[in-house]
Amino acid sequence: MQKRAIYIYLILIILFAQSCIKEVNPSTRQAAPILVVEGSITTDSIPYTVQLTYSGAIVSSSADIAESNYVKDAIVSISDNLGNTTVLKYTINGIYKTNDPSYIGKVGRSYSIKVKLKNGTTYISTPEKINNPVPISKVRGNFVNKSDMFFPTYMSVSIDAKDPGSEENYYQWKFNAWIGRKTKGVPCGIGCIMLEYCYQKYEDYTVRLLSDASINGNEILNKTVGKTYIYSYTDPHVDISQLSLTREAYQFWKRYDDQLTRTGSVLDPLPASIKGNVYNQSNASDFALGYFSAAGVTHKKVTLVPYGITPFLLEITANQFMPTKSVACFLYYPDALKYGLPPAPQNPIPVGWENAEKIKVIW
Amino acid sequence: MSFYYRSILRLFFFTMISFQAIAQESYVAKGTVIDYETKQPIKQVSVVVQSLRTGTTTNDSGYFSIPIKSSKVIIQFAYIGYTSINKEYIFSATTKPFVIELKRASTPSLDDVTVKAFKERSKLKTTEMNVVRINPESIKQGPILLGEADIIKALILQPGITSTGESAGGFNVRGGNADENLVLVDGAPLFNTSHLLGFYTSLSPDVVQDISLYKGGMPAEYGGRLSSLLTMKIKNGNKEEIQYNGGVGPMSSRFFVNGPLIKNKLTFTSGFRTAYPNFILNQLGSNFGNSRASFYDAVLKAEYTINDKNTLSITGYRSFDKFKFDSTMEYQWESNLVSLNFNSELNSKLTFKFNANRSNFFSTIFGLDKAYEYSLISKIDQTQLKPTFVYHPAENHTIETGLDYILYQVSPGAQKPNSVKSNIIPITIPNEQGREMAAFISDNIEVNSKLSIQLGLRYVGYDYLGPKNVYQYEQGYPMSKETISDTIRYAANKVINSEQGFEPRIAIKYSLSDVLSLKISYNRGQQFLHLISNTTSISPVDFWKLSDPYIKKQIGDQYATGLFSSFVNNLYEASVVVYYKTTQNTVQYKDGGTLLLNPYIESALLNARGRAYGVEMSVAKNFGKVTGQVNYTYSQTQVKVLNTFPSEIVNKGAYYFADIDKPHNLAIIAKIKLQRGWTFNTNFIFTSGRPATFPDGNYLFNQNVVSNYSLRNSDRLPAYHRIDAGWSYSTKISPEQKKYSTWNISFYNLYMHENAYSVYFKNVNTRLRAYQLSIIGSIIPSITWNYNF
Repeated sequence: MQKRAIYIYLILIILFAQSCIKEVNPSTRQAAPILVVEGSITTDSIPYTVQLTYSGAIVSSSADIAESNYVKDAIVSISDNLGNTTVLKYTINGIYKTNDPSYIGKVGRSYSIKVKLKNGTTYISTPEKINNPVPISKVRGNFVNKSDMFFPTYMSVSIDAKDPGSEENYYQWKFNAWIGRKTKGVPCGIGCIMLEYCYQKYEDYTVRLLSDASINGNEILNKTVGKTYIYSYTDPHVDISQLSLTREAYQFWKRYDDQLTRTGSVLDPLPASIKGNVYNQSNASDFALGYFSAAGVTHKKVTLVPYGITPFLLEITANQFMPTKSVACFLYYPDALKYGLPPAPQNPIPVGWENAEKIKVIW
Repeated sequence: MSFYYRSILRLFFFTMISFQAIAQESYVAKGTVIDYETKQPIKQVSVVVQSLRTGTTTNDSGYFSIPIKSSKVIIQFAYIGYTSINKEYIFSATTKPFVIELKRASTPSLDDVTVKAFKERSKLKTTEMNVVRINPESIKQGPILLGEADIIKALILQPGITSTGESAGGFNVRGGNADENLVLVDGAPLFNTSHLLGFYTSLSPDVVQDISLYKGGMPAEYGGRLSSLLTMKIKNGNKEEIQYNGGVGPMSSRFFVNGPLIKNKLTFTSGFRTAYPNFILNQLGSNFGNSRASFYDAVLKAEYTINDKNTLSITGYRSFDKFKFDSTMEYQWESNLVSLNFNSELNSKLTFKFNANRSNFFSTIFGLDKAYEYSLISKIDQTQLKPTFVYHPAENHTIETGLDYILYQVSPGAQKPNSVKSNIIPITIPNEQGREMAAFISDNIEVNSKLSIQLGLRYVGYDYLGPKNVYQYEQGYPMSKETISDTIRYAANKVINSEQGFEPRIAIKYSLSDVLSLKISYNRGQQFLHLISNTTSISPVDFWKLSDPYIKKQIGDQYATGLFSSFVNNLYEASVVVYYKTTQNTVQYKDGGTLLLNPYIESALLNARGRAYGVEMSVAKNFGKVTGQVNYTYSQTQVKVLNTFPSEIVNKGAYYFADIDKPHNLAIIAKIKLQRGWTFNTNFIFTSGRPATFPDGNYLFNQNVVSNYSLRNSDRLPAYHRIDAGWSYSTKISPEQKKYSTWNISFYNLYMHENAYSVYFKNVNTRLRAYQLSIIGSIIPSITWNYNF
């Protein structure tokens, strides 16, 4: 609902051609640092991570977090309702990881976190039950012929799924992809260029949520779950995670998303702290920021194949983002998939997508 | 029959008996004062018999009566904006009621005599302290925004009346929320007062005869809202000939016709206004090609004069608004009301009034996304019956008593799929029913030339009615879906819970000298309706909710005292009013609670208490070439959430500034009569910025910088100020002239100040930035042509 507000204002702005939004620099208060907990456990068998930081004057990215705001010496453990506990191990930047590969989230169990700080204060989370994961039945891709000075044209990815009618379901989608990049490559003789394509890791942090309150038991149709930018004529490899959240986690993410999409308009809800589920064990009104969630998850890995368009046309808006010097693609993009010189396969398929379904995306 | 119904009836009959006890003999000068042009009654006209040092004012139907102890007198009639007249009368026992026609002053401003007489009777002499009266004609002259003279924009220049932001919907009176205003159109309530989300008031001043806003001290006959009463009376039709007028502006046009259907018996009034912003949208190219906005409102009124003692009138009103966004979402909202008024003069001392009305408000949201098409309707519908007796035993004594019955039907939200292929499932939040029954009595007595007292008492009983499922929650836990312990089912019309209480109203005036009077008032109000909204101003996603076992009636108490003075031979008048208000059981919202379509709505609401105080100062110059006002208010409005569960505490349980708190309010209004029909109008407005919540710490979550807002409303927006100027030109030369046109050329926000509507923080290009939204950031010129023929 709130997102519509921007349109109201755009209309009114244009309507009266006088309204305006400008950047300002109001004086702000700075409250004492608050513990921030970000972590989750799912039915995936990967190490689970929990990051502990303190709030502060962060303006842009993790680079702004002062070293002292990373919580390094806490004791962090995850427990389920049957009493199985695993202690997490500190890595870097306040990140703690599970160590035991057999500790995997189980559907129907409830999980909570316990964080004991060096000063003895202990924060715990309200237990979260892992709900049944729901499978994705279909993936679609669509070209969106819209670009700007920051991003080229893209494929929008959407899914279908059948919502179970017997229970309340709260969905969140996470979207990871290997997207094709292109550089001028390395010349290898007349008319020969090599190492000009590579796959770069891409994660979409847009919050994508759905509650089945309005569609319970019906099809989820054409729900947009992510996008892959088109920097080159290659097939993006996409991993869609469909999480079954608890109601509380859904509401937390909803508030989180509402806050990130504020427009200052009539329809904005009043700004407030995003209260999560982690609180001081000995003082329930002392809330930590952030959330520790538990969720069932299903994955769908697909490869999107552009269809009905020539490489030249497809790459028109991507060219402005291509580096000007001759360099190997995987060297230019540090998080790109590495591969060797010919005769090694150029731009190989990432691990996990060898047998992935191929989806035609028609121009 | 429950206790309070019996009490109501007892109170009512007791009053009826008391009517019989008083009687008196003398000549009575009585009659009706009407407008020369429109033949419509004028209320609050001062009627003064200088020789006998007595006088009165006309009532809502323009009617007056004064006992006279002489058979030959000169009576003066005067009213703001009209040329006053003196008439000689000779009385006998058979003298019939007079009809006095007042002509409008040639340029609609005040001439000296009028003001003197008017003032003599008005602010210094009455117990009224909290009332703002505005002449709709004078609004049309002032500087206006986008070609539409606007009632609410004119009201918020007055002390104690504010709005949450530029062109925000609704208005706030002395720190009260927008849903605490009772807005009546010919006696029927209007639930939504805005078009285009607040740019225009939903009624054009063209169709309104008079506008009165009670900031406190509401007469006992009115109740149901805590903070204020705004009454607007639709013009009656001219009794002798058909008249037309209208106006054309850049965004909207209006047309108004009135006249007799049966000469001197049956008159009608009809008005229509429509806006066409789509024309401008269409010029904007493809980005806004799918956006649409429009509204209209229409008024139809008929008045039948049965005989010189009985009149019957019926008023109908409808307004409709539509906003559509880029093919995915459309908002529609509409108000409809119909009101029947019967007025019967039973004898020279006793009048019977009867009002029956029905009013509703619908708000609909249409989701237009393919495969997810839906409509979400919320609705409130009210039916009201109100018989009243007005007894006038003596010139200085009026007693009014009656009953007030209201039936509410509320549909908080019903969602339906809007196409056969839609995946949306229907969800309906059960309807609510409630009834309010009140009895009231007020006694207005002028004890002597120094002391006047107005006493009022209203007793209200409210029942929340089935059919309804009421959830019971476990004790000791915050209410939520998980803590429901039981569900109780109530059958249709079964009383689920009842609330009742007295509302005392008292106002006293004491004249300290000829030019100085002191006034004191106290009043209590009770409100059983709550507008549920998590935004600062009224918006289309708000909906109404009745009091129920969890959401108790709101109670407001207001104490006010003021000094009123006039000096330099009534050229100037000044007043200082101090008020203190408390409210109980106002509704606040849990952080991030779901409001729309929530069957457990009580679990998302918090119980709050409010307090407000302020001092309102006003100096006015009412006649001469230059007229104007300087109004200044200092006020504070605070709220406190009473819930004590850790997850529900707001601002650590302490008082914090309410969203509508704006301590300093200054308005300077000036009008200068120029040569040859020209008038220059200007105003300057300065108000403190409203409270805001700025982030007081940031953190990284999900790779985004997130702001933490730990203290609600602890920051403030920048102050608001602007100057408007307007010239109006009228081709009217003499008061008798019926065909004329007026032009209004206005400049809104003359020095182009970018006033902040809000300041918000957002991550843009990987950086947290603060942005200020100004709804009107530039000068807005407009030109409007109004015609009368």
